[in-house]
Amino acid sequence: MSRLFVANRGEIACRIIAAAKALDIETVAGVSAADKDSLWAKAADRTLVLGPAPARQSYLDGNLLLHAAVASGCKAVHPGYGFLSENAAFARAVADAGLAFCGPTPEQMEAVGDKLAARALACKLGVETGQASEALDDPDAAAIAARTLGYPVVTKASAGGGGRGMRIVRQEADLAAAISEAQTEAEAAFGDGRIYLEPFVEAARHVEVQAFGLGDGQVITLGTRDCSIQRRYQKLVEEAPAIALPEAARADMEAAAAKLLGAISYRGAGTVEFLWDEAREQSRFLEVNARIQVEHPVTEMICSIDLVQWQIALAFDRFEPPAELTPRGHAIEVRILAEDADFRPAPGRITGWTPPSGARVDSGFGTGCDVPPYYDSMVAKLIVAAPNRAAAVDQLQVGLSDFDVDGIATSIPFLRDIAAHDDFVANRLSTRWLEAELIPASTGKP
Amino acid sequence: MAISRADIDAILATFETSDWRTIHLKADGVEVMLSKDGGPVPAPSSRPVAAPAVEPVQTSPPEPPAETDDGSIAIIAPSLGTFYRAPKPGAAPFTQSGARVEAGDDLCLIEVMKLFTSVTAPCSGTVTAILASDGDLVEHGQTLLRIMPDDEADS
Repeated sequence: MSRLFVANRGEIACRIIAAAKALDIETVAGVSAADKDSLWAKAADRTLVLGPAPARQSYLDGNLLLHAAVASGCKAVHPGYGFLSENAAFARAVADAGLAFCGPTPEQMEAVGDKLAARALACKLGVETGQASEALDDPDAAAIAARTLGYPVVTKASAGGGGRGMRIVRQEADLAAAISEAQTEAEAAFGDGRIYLEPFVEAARHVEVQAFGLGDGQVITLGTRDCSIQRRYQKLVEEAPAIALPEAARADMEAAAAKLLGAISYRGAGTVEFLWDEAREQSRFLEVNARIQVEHPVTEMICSIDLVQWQIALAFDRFEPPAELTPRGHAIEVRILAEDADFRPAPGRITGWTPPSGARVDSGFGTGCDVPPYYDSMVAKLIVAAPNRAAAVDQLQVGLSDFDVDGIATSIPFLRDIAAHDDFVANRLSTRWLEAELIPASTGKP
Repeated sequence: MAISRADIDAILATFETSDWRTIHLKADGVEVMLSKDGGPVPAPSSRPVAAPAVEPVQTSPPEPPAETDDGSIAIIAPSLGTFYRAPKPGAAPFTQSGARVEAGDDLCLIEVMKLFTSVTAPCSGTVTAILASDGDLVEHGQTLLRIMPDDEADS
């Protein structure tokens, strides 16, 4: 019997278990003590309590996860997203133990995990990367680099992600302090304080290509996503396809993604992210996410596929590429977080959970479930799909108004405000829209 | 001659001041693996002598002993791992049902990817039950043994 170890929690753990079940593969879920009565702990064929609640002693302890996977007879490990999903040392340990890893090889992870290294690879392959500085260490070199790029500039952490190490700098007087702050933050978050500069684009969209590599140089691309609605660099609303861009620009991005991942014979699901400069109608490569992403369902909806099943099938050598794949319609996903109106985490017990009927809801929680305070605050994703964007927006508004959660505060009221906003309905959006337009207007605070 | 705590402390101190990156020592039923190469973060050690750069022979992090109706204390697995009653295959077990233990005595080992953590007695008393078998995969929070503390046993 084929058996898969689930090294994650929440909705993605539920998703992995359901996908494995559909492929007739057994699952073993490794959980923390805080999650031992969770929905995914119940859904898995077997559940093993790894350690206490803190992630460092459970979901982030690669030795514990691997020991549990080996001892329970699993043949593969699915890392989900976050936690150890992009940790090359963990991927290597899994491979060394003779298990398959649902994701790229450790070498591929290293090749694209470092942003400066990924940029260099993209440059070499002729993918448009835009201008950027090298890693900076002395303030004078930074000042010269910033002048060359032109203000405003943004600092970025080479090892980074999740907005850590990012500071927008509008004038030279603020540069040295911003770089030093960014270095400290990157050092603390990633143990690597290397910072570089890029020009800051005011009206940009965050557009990404979903790709799936077979590990032999073949790469299937599955269209684009627009994830411009972000707060503090965290995506809140994601759509597919990125219809704000001309079709030719989207096709170029897909071709660039295929070239980049093909060059390293990338294996499994991965995302290539781009920044779309609306004023100049130019795209530039940002980074590669070497894992399944939170927003993968919008791609699944327009392509009528199951990406998590693809990942698992590939790990078990059972993947067969579909003969025909034509994306159709438009899909939108919103992330429902256990957060109050001031964006503070609001863990607790869910006493009522009524998702809208007819819409896809990917969740790890339900009535009677505890949302523990130790982890990410996302409790569910609401995903709608329709023949076109206008119809999808209507469905999203209906879905959000029908979604009732009691016992904990959630971001549903905030998401309703977004879905009803004229700019959202008209697709007049940028990565700065939420923080520069919607939030100041609705709270009266900048 | 058995290796004592003091011997291990001396090995730790020597290793810490040396240029060596790793030591793997097996002697007299005791296995010591030390590494300065970062790697996975070990479970916090309750041993004050351990320098942060060194991965010592681990002792279990303090789990709150759970008292039961009969006054015995449940000894809980600090993490998931493989349970071993003896320091090495074929050796005499650390303890057995009915045996006396002193506070700090090793009761069993939990192995996680070749890293061995010893679980020690929180108090002196008598082992009343051993609830896992040698080589079992045990989970965090699982009761491994029960000990009747001295004062309870005496009263």
